[in-house]
Amino acid sequence: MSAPIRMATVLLICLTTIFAVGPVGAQHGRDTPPAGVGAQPSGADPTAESVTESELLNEIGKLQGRVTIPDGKAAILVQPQGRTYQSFHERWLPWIGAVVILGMAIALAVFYLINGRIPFGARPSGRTIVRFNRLERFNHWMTAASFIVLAITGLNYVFGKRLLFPLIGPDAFATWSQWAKFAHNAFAFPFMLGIVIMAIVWLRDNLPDRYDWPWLRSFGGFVSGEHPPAGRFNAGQKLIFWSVVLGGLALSASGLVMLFPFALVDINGMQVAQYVHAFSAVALIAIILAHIYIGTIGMVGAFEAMESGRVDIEWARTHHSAWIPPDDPDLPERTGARVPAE
Amino acid sequence: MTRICPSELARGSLRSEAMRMILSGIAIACLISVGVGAVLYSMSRPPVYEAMPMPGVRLDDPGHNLVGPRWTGRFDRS
Repeated sequence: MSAPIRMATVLLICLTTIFAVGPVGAQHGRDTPPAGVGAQPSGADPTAESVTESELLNEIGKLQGRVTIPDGKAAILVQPQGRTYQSFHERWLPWIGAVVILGMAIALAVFYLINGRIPFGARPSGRTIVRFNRLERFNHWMTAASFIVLAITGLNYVFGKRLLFPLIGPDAFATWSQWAKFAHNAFAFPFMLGIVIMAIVWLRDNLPDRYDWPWLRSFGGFVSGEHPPAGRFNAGQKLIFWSVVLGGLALSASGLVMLFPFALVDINGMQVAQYVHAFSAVALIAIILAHIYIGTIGMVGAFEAMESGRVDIEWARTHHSAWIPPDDPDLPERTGARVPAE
Repeated sequence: MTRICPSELARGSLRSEAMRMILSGIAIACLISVGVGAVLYSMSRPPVYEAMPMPGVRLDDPGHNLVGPRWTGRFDRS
């Protein structure tokens, strides 16, 4: 074999080796392409040397392109915070919500089975006293009705597709969810109005006083077996009040941010608003479950206070002795005074 | 305001007055919601397929986009 032919043979072997092995080496450490992709006639992958999405993400923090539509946010393709939020919303939030809300419901059921209803505590006198005036009762029921709608439609955001969708199918679920969304947005406003009125009307009677710590220390009398003294609101009721006011404030602020998306904050701010909204809602739903329990089947005589606005005087003296002392001789003349509540 | 009255004598009127407060609270909540809902609906913008209609790809209709309704996600050269 002559020298030129030998050189041509060696060169041909080298080129064949480079074309055959080179692309394989270039693929090391990169994403595996789908079958068929990159199957060029030459055997080379034209995208093998290009920058991968993971490299871009690690380098600049998010993947962003250019769009021609007015919504510039659509140019953001990938951002790590979005994945964190998605993981929270789709994995953690359903479990957190289920554990907290169902846990409260189970705890209340166990409490009821063990302790039964909290008794009247005294022999009814047959005389009643105004406990909530008309404005207080009206506002309570307006806020309560709004909250129930908000809670049901809000839970649909998280649990609807998991629990309701398999039962009623896609068409009914889509229709229900659309109306639920409208209702959630609309009923937020009477709820916010009710929170503001509650804060104004009941703030003074819910400030801490000297009866609160003894009341909490005895768990409202469950430990000592005697009713600890309390003013118009006992410490448990004050905790409910502040939970509703502060929780309602957090829900209102974060809800308004979500109701007008990107008007005040960017995409990260929207996700923070949803974290705040979700945690506040789950906590408040659990707390309100306890409130509904104690205000209905949990305590004898409690529902009448918010229903008719009146309670028996002996009931008030037993549960709120600091507001109506047992030996108060001037009770019939105490017009204009504040009345105890449950 | 604190007032005392014989509960048995006033029970009937109290019941009706109590229901009036409950129902009026629920009714006002609904009325406010309807009003606010109407305002919010009037403020809402049309969806993208109405605001920016194009003869090509429809973002909301996966049955008629470039991929097609029977796309499996797998690459098929044929």
